[in-house]
Amino acid sequence: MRAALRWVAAFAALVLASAVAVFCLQLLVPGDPAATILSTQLGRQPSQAEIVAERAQLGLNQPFPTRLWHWIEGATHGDFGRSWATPGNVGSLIWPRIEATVRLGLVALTLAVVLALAGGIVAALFRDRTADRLLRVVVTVLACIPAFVLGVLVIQFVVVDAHIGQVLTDGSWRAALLPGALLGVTIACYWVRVVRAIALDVLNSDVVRTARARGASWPTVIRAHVLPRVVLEFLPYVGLGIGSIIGATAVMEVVFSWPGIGAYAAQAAVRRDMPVLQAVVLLSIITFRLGTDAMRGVGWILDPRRRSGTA
Amino acid sequence: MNAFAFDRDRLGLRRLGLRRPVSPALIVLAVLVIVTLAPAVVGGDPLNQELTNALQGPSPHHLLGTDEYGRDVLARVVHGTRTSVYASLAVVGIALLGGIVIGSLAAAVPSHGGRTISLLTDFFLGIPGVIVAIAIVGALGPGTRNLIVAFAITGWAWYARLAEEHARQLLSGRVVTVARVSGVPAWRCVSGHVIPHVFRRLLVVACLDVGWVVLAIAGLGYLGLGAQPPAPELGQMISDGQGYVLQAPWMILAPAGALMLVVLPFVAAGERVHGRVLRV
Repeated sequence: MRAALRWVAAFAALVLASAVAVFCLQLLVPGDPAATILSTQLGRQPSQAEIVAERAQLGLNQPFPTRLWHWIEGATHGDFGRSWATPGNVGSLIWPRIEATVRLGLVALTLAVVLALAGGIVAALFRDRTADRLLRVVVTVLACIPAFVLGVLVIQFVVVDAHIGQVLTDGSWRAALLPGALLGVTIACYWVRVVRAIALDVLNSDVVRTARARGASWPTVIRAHVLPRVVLEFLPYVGLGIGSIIGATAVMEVVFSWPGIGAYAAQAAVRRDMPVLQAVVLLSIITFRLGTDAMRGVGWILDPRRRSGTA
Repeated sequence: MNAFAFDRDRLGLRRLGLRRPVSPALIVLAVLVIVTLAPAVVGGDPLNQELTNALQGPSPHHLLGTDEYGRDVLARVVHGTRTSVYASLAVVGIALLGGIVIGSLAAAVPSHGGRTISLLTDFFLGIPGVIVAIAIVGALGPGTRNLIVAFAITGWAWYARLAEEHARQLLSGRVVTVARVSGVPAWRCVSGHVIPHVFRRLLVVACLDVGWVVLAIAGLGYLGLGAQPPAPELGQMISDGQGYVLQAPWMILAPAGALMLVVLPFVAAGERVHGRVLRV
């Protein structure tokens, strides 16, 4: 109970600190935002009166602490203010895109976890033999190829030439399979090594040696000893993966014109749409914390040693 | 490996400094020399347009063909690679130095001061790097310099955490204790004993990171946030080549190949080091 309260307090502090930090991003924008917005909207140099009116409308004429307070107060009920680049509220612009990103992220992470666990454990079992070496070469080479290059090639040769999947995606589950698979493979490339290292540790442990000496078959040993321990130690990495999904999908979303939050953030960055960026960054920091802590919680539930406090 | 080891030692890299299987610094040096000399060796102007010569395939005159404006792809790739590697070195250098100073201070400054610095590091460790970098570039405006700033801001905390741990060990170790007893002031212990050691240990990790940062920079370049046209930028070149995959595949393959060639030595070295340390 006290641990839960402490977590809530730490989480609230984090959210508040990030909200302040994120709002301060606005201070980095050089020049007068009102003038910039107007000149892009009107296509000409705005007059002084127009700039003053626009500043008033955006609330930019209020002192910074007041604006900060208004922004945080609005953010608590999902109102992140008006977009600088497009008409409309930031909230209504980003919520539908978050859903699309979650779809893509879930497909990618599920595949990455499965591939990484399977690949890593197999590589550890066949350590330094052909399978292990081959896998290591493949993973090393794939890790050097940027995901967007793979994406561009896949679009051309799989989607356009072989008519599998769609070039213009609608963000549905079906459409998520292809970009999700690509993203999953690239994430798995990082994770395979981690799993392999963990699995090697487990395979070298007394537990496995004893089980083998008792006559347990490899499948039994893997199911009963290797997999549970590998999963437990791998969970934090999955947490990191879940937590950073908003940024990790950005490039793939652009390649597949996926209607997700990452691509939208990139677009907002090009258009210097700070309210959108602020909202996305705040959400991504919260997601990061929730993702990593959720996996820690799962580890706590799954690990009897930690639950009983003996480890 | 303890189940919570993740908190302190995310990739097992902390133990790296204890042994030096390969010398990542040597790789950095080699890559640096190659990308610096390459533009002079290859020759050619990355900006020179010959519209009558657009989208031509590889020829003795243009070894890697030309792009949609008739610019020499090889010259663009070589110049773009140099920009990326320089930017990556700047990012890693700034993040490393900042991280070492902040981490050492967090360990050395007594009580609340140190704890506050440590908390700051915690905060920056808890932000997802890519999206925050995108936002910072969005605020400052696209361009190589702002990209360097953004990645340095999102990247230093990891080094600071490693530096802090190592500095704590050093500060409670014999060398510093003896120095303090013989009257050396605390700040000189930090600058003379702690920071040099921490630097030597973190240099290995940092050198391996150069490859990843090159990839990350190319990623943001692909999103249009890197060096602005007409300056050659690898990610941007791939993005431009997307419209000509069939007519001019070299427009994508050349920058992609350059990226791979630059990143591969770092990843391979990381794989070697990683394998050795974690294999026990």
